[in-house]
Amino acid sequence: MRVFCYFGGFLEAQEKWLNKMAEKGYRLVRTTSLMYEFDLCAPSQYEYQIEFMAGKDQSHVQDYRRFLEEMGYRTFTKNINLNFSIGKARWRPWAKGAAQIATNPGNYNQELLIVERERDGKLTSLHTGQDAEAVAAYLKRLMNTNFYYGLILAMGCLLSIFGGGSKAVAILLGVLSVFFFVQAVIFVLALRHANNKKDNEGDIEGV
Amino acid sequence: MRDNVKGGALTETTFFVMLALYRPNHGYGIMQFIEEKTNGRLALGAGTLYGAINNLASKGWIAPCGEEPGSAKKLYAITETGKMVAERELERLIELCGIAREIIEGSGGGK
Repeated sequence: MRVFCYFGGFLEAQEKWLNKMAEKGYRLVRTTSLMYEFDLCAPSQYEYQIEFMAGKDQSHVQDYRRFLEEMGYRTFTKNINLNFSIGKARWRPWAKGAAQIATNPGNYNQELLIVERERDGKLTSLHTGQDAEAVAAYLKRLMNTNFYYGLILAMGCLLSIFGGGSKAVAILLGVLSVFFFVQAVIFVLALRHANNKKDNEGDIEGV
Repeated sequence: MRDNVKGGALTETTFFVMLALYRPNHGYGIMQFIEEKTNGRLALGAGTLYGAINNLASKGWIAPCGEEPGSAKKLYAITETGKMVAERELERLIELCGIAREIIEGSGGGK
């Protein structure tokens, strides 16, 4: 079964949705930028978690994926943002001439790692206790990335307004930039929440 | 997860990973070792364990030692430096236990 769906950076929503599908007996077999493909499985046989990987270099991601696969998990990569890209080349509608094609370093279009594990009633989280600092760093990266994309898109929007580009492109870029700014704010709030939790648990953490 | 190298105190996770590697072991084996020895009290997330292994490897306390025949799973083992650190940690814990026993059991009117 193929489902066309896009969650952008709303990782929690995406994770919940995948888990709901698994509860109904659908197991993820393939992802593309706009599509998820499922096979039938026993209801609630699997569960999913999503991890944000952008900013980590390719060899680290591969090493991590290998580690998880050795643990008996299955992993999928997923894009966080929609771009018109083939491989590492990306079309930037707001640029002029040849500059419309940009290349991206690192694990572009594979910012998310979807991790599937068999539901065995045991521990569910990939990251447990003692890891508060890593979680905070992780949220900070998410926040920065979204903010960065928002900023780039906002600049693209302004450029196409004052550069005499088409109105439709300007509106599209504007809407997208707001979208990323909203996501950045969501992660700011999550970061604050995580920091509060870290402070409260500080005493227990030691040993 | 931070280990206080000068004071010698290791986190519980760190110490357990090192203990699991007195015999060459892979990630899944380390996780099973820890769950078994603590009767499931300490259950690590795979991401956390991955971080702990990489952290210890970069300190030189553990090192990769080939692949498990058949499964091709990456194996790790504790190094000589790692063993020294583990021995020092054991001494520190024995001392701590001794003091704790003296005070807690001594003051409980148990003597």
